[in-house]
Amino acid sequence: MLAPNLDRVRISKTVTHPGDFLSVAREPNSERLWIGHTDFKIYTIDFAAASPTATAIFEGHNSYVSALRVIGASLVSASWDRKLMWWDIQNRRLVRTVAAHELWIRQLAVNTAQSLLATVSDDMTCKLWDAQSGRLVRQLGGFEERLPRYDYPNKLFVCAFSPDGRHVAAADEACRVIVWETESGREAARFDASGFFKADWDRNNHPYGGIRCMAFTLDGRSLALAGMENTDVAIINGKALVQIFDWQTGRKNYELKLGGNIQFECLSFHPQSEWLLAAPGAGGAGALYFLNSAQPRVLKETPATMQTFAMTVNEAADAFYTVGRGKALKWEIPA
Amino acid sequence: MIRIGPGKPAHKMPKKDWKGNSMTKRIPVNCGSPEHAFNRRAFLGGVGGALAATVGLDVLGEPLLANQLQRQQKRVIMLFLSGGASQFETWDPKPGRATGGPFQTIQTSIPGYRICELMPRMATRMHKTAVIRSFSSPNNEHAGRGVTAILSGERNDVGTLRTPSIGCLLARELSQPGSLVPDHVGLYTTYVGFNNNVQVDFASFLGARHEPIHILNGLAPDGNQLPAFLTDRDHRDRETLRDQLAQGFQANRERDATVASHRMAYQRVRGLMDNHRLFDISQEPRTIRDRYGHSLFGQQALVARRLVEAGVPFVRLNRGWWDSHGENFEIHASLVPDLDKVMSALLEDLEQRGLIENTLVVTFAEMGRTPQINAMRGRDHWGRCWSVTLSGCGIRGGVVHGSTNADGTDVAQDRVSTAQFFATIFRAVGIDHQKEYTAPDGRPIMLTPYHTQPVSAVLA
Repeated sequence: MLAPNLDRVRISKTVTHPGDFLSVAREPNSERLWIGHTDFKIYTIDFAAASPTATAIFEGHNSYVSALRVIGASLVSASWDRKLMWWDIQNRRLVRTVAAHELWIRQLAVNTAQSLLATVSDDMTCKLWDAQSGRLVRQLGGFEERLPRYDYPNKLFVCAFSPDGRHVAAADEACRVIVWETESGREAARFDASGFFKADWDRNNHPYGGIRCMAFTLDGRSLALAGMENTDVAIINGKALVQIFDWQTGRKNYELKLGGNIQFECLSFHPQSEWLLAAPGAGGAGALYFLNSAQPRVLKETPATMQTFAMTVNEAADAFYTVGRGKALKWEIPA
Repeated sequence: MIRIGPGKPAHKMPKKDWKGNSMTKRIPVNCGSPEHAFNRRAFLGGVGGALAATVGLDVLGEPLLANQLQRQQKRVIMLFLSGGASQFETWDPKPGRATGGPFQTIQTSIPGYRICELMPRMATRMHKTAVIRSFSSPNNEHAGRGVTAILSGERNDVGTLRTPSIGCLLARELSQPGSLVPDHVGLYTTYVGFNNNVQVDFASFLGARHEPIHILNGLAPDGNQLPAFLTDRDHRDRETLRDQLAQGFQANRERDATVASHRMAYQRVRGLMDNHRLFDISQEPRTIRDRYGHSLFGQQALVARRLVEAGVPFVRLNRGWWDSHGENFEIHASLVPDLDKVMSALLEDLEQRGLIENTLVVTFAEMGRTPQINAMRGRDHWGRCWSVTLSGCGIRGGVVHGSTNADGTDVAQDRVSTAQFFATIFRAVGIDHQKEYTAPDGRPIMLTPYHTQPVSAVLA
């Protein structure tokens, strides 16, 4: 089989829909997407169809649907309404609702074995859930409740499992990263991702930028963080930033800054680490970036046509799907 | 309009004919009340000669005097949300609408009125605050003519004349002759707007006395304490000498306002220095400081309370920077809880100290934010309809005046202009909003344009 050729990456199908698609999950080995929207609904798009369209299927959340994951025959959704919901995909019905957090849930991750879910919320906890039953397994903490100096409530933006499922990581607004052992809940490491955060915003008294996505490397030894370097200007106009850390030592091994007015919102490793795909959301509609995952350089920059808020890559990494401002796109990377 | 409580009769003002002739009068420097003047003298500790060495909180430690002050002098604290806070994430949420954003709403102490979930403290005390949800202004900018206009009441009756801003008008109206505390203090948490010379009050032809003392990104004005090389005695000796020379110079110039102003400026500098403790919040009990919180905004609000308590008639707290073109919800998740905490603490503190009856607390800004959520999940500039609040002196709490349509894209009921809002502020603190003052070219100008009607529904 020929390797995908990044020079041939292209959009093959486009579905338009008013508003913002915020989150996406794909049924394995298919082109069916489930997409969370700012209208609080969950849509589906089957990109295998000749003329795919977005159809609202599930309704039940009372706020933005911030994250989705497919677990076997179920779809799990997380929302700013603080709830987790399990949906039966086949029978199109609600299975379970869990009042999961005291504040808005921003991210949801699932381990490779699909046995555990992790959620992060502005209540500053990372919670592990039995993916099948919805039972709370463990609550993880250790983040500061308030940001230094300005005394604002802290926020927990992202979380991710290591590929072997033994560790789960989360990062807060102050760009502190904590990694825990999933089995014991013991804190395995913590470090600060310098460059994403500076506690000195005298020009506007609040930060722009920070870590908005993370992913473990395939060997589980390193953790990639992406977002925007912290700025204190009046609008988003910082540089996009990607850093990769040896999370056990906190040593930074990789840093790449790109352009201005770009904030990466989603990040995905190629299954064989051929590249690292980063997509900008707030701040830039300009491009998608294929990055060399070993050396900090851009392999390929391609027009994105929208602000991208979430994406999913297929098993062969020869297609991926991005969702965002008013659109869902299927991309192909022909050989 | 939503209203709770027994209700009170509309604010009573002397009748005027439709031309307003019987109401209009030349503006005095103060309200003219002899009792008011007496108390200012008492406050200053007999200011005739001694320059207020005892002015300030020490005097307020005397309950009788403090009570007298509390009864009579009106003050205004303006919480100016620089950059433009979102009405959707504060006072006029639209949950479930495309424009509504992700936040939920919470019930307030006013039946049927819900505000954004980010304001739980204010929700419990909304029956003491009036909200105008139908404020409307042409301004959509942070700087320039639009901001100059909104700060001076968006007048269309003065041609090209630049009229004073609301803060300077209030400072003048509420000031007392001979006062050695500032008439007007502006505290800023951030310098985005300040450096660009935007949103700053301007006295124009009222004179420098009514310009604000700016405190930027701190709690006290620069240079309000003696340099290390100068003792207090040396400074007083120098002042005595300067004053003797000034008296001689002024002897045949009693009617020269410039000379008098120059001399007064020195006296006020000394007064400010003698009152440096006003800016020192470490004088406050820890429980009070904790109540305000430890953000700069909270600390500046505590300074503001100390200032009005000591007789400063107008303080503007400029809390920035709300300009949320990107990640509006993250920014408001940071700033609104701080506003909620600080505003509720300030109102509660003023209540507990018996100051709220004579202190009006206003929230205002240069604009609101768009209903549409942009591609950066931000909200942009919006003047057409947004919310302002009034609490305390002269205000009927528990009133929600006006409304916007379902998506918050326009006023649905009871549009309130800037001139009407300012007229309401003037009336709340007992100032005739149709009072005249004189422009440099000699023409009489009313505080608000002819025929402007205050929002009587929110007045006590």
